[in-house]
Amino acid sequence: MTAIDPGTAGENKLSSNAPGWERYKQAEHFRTQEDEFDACTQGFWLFLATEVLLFAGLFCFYAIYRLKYPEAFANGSHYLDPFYGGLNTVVLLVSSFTVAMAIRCAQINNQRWLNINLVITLICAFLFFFIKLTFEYIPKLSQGKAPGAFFSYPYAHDPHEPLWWSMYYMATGVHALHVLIGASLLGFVLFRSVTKQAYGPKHFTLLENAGLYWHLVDLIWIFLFPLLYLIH
Amino acid sequence: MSSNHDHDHDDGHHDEGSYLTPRGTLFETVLSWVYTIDHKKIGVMYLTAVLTMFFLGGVSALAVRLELLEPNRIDSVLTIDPTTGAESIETIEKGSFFKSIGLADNLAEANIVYNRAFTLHGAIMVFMVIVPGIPATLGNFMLPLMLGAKDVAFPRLNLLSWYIYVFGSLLAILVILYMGVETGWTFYTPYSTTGDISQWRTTVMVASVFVIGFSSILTGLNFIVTVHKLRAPGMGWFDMPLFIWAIYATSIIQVLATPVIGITLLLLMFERIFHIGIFDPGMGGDPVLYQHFFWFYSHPVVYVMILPAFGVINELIPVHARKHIFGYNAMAFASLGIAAVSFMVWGHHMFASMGEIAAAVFSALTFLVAIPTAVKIFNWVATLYKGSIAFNTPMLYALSFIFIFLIGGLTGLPLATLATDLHLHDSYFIVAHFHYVMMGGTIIALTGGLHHWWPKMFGRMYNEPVGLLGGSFVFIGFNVTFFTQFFLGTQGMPRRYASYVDEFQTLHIISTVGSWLLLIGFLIHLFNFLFSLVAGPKAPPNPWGGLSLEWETESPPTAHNFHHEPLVTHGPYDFDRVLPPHCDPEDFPLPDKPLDH
Amino acid sequence: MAHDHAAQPDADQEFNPVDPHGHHERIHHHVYSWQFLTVVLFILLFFTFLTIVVSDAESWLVKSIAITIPDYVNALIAMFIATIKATFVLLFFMGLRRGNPMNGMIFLFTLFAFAMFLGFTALDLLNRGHVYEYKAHSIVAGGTGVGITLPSGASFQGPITASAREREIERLMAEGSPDHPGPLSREGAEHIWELHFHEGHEEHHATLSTANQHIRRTGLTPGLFIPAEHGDVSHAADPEHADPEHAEPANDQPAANPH
Ligand code: HEM
Ligand SMILES: [Cu+2]
Repeated sequence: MTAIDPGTAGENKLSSNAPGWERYKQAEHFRTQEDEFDACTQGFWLFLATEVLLFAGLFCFYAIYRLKYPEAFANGSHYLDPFYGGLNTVVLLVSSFTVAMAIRCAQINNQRWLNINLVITLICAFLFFFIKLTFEYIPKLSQGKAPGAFFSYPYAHDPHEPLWWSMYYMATGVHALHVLIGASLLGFVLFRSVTKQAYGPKHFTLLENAGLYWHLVDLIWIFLFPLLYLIH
Repeated sequence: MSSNHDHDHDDGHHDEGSYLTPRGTLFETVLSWVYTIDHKKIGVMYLTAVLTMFFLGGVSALAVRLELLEPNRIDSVLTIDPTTGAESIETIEKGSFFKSIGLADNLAEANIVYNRAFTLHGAIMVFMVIVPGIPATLGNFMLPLMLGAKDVAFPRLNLLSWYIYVFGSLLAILVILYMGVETGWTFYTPYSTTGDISQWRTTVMVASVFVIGFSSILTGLNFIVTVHKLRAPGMGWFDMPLFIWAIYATSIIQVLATPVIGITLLLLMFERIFHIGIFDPGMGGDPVLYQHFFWFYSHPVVYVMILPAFGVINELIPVHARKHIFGYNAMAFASLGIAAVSFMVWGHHMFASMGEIAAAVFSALTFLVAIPTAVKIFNWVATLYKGSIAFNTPMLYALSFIFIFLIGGLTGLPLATLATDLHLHDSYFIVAHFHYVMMGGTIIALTGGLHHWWPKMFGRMYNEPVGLLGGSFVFIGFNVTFFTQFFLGTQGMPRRYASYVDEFQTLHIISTVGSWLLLIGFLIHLFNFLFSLVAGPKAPPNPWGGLSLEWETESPPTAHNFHHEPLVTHGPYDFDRVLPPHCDPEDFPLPDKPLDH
Repeated sequence: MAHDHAAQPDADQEFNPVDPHGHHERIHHHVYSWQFLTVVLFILLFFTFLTIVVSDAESWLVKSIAITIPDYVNALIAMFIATIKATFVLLFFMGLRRGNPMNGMIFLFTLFAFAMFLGFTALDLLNRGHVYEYKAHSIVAGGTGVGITLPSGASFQGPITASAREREIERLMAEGSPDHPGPLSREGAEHIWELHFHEGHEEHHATLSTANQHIRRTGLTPGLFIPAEHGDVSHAADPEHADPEHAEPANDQPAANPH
């Protein structure tokens, strides 16, 4: 992520056909490359903290109204099919695994598998969206199970079901936005890896951070899945 | 203090120039600011932006005070036409400043204008002035210098945060130009969900605050990593100036609390657009839940405002009293303690609406905050004791701070007490309380810190007598404006009303006159600073005899801060055993015998 | 931070300008073997499977043996398993186990803030009216959508769900359904609606456990459970749906209480 990129990164004067990761030199205000790596990952962990607390608002939304309107939430979760939710969980777990593998490949300088792993991750991201849209968002919305005042499903069992759908779309929507951002980030990493061999044993900061982001997306889903699909 | 002690800045490094030295043509110089990743330039850019917003917020504050100069009256006048003898009764609406300057046609409209004026005042002052006020301006400039670092950890992120701030502020200004919002700075539902139907002003205002939140997060994140990773060789955690500790604690709050306001405002926007029903009772939501979301951020954020102010005072007092700070560790831990407790007390803003059990718990926890805060006040006073106090503008501000903040903090306690708060809630007492801590705390500390570091930042001295004059006006004006409001509050004047019963008028007049004194004070400072930029005498590298690292380098600092990476060999407050760098020992002699501290 | 502090250079220790704070052992990037990562993945997949199975088993037990399992059991198990999974992801995929311990600290602080937020908010919202009954009162008309105007200009007269039903019945009256071409009488349309409503019943009607009834719930508007003017929406009269807790605390409810 550019945002966590160090400032004035220069490239040192290795021969220009050396792979990108070998030519990389840390920004001048850091003493060593490890210092920079530490600083960047620490910065990124702080950023992840903000992400977790962003979702805290949504989890609070869920908790309060689930306790307040349990019938609506129990009914709501029965409209969702745990099969597709489970499938998406598997997709995200596998992609988390491939990202971890990609970082491992960078550490042992296996450029080929680094790229393959990233490609698999991106395919998983695509699958996630595909499942979400074709089996959930589109059919639900066309039945009128829309958020808040736009709710028009005529067979609701509980007057507070619109609130459930609001919560569902907010939580999964914000999460899906994160999937999108994470996938773009990994796409960028893949691009730099393919064109410049930018990541290797001595330098893989951006890959590490993009990976952390992706794991966070997975982490949030690990909680959203039972909350939305399984608890009744 | 450091290894570059003996490399005086005179021998050979002059060609480098300061960070302010223009590079190339005018256009290139402008570009060098627009694209800069130098924390000093970004700090100055933040300062400019924040002061601009302070001006806007100040204008609306003066307008609010003018409206309150007189209560609204509707007089019925019987007129008899001299020729026909016909009688007619005419009603005259009087007493509204907004009506008299043509912003409103009648009193009902004037009330709406009043609501907009105080909302803009509050929103601008809180989100765009006081929150970024010290960390993003003085913090940005001084933090790397005090740590002996070349820059903050993520310089580009730093620039990005400035652009985000400016973008968010411009959005807010857009709303102001289109007549503003009427919700109060807290955007409470249902004001913010039902008012302003089918219009976009509230949504845009909320969005702009949402955007500005990101700039706050990025600054905080950046500072935390900088403190962890970029301290100069030899500088352990407990060798850091206390300003750094304060900024560090602030940053923790910024990182942990700001995302919650992000999601709150996002939900609020969705509430307005889709009526999702989380905060709007009309849809089954709970407006008090909104208040929980809001204050989970906004209470910790009052410490984002005040902790850096504590930090500034921690520097002003030891330097200008030439004495080691009393209780360094206590100060450092008090900062962290306040940061931790700040996450557990937000409920005191909703005592009137929340359940009794939670209210009792929150009340008890709120009292805890007073402990670390009191530790700080005692330590400052103890530092002053037997110090050799230089009575200059920074010291005047430091003393004002202690005096004013003490009142502000103490009046927090009756508010934290359930029984008294139910009477004082939403009265002028609250208004006075938070102005004593926010204006009297943060703005006073910012102004004092600005005087203290002005020579370092711009390489020019300001005029001391004029500074003292301005400072006196601010101190007196502030107290005249806001102390009266404690009386108004206890007598029952509610906040956020454009009019009142006649009995309150005397106090309101005093308060409004005070606001003019404040204006004069700040104008004096403004002219003093502008004059100093143009024609002030050149500042020496260390005019106050300070010992922290920023005084080691020239004034203004070179583009790379230091010629050599400094090596820290003594603490920032060891005035009794270390001669300050670049100073004549005659001016800042060591005491005959070391003081014990 | 304690780490940093402890590592301050001592006077007798030789000063290393590249390593000023004495991190002598650099934080080295630990490389996990691919076998190990695969095992972690399979553990995660297993727990995913487990949590679905447990939730199914619970529903099955409730239905076939007719035992009641309190609702929180279901929630607790699901959250417990999710926490285990999250811990695996954090420790091994995200590298907290071998990485810089400071990052783990950051995460713990985050969880602290998270817990405060959720805990204190719930403390208030779920404990209203324990001392003063008036604090437990419902928001009159809360949740009905009254007062809301959509961009289309539409507004709500009754509960949103009832309005949706009303619109569907009007549509049925005009257009009919595939089996019964319209126009239909109101009774006919309502009958068709009824059939549809009960069709999906098994699938999405959930019986609530007794656990939920212990939560003190405030702000429920009784009017919501009375359908819009026309409709005796079947489930409002259905004893199974009209859960007693809507009326709780019974003496608080305004006169419009359906029970
Ligand atoms: C000793 C420490 C403090 C205590 C015990 C305290 C307590 C309180 C309480 C109980 C209230 C709520 C009153 C009500 O609405 O009924 C309040 C309001 C407020 N306090 Fe403090 N406070 C303290 C320090 C501060 C500081 C340092 C700041 C900011 C720099 C601050 C800013 C505010 C603001 C902005 C409000 C009112 C916001 C609004 O309703 O618009 N307080 N304080
Ligand atoms: Cu507060």
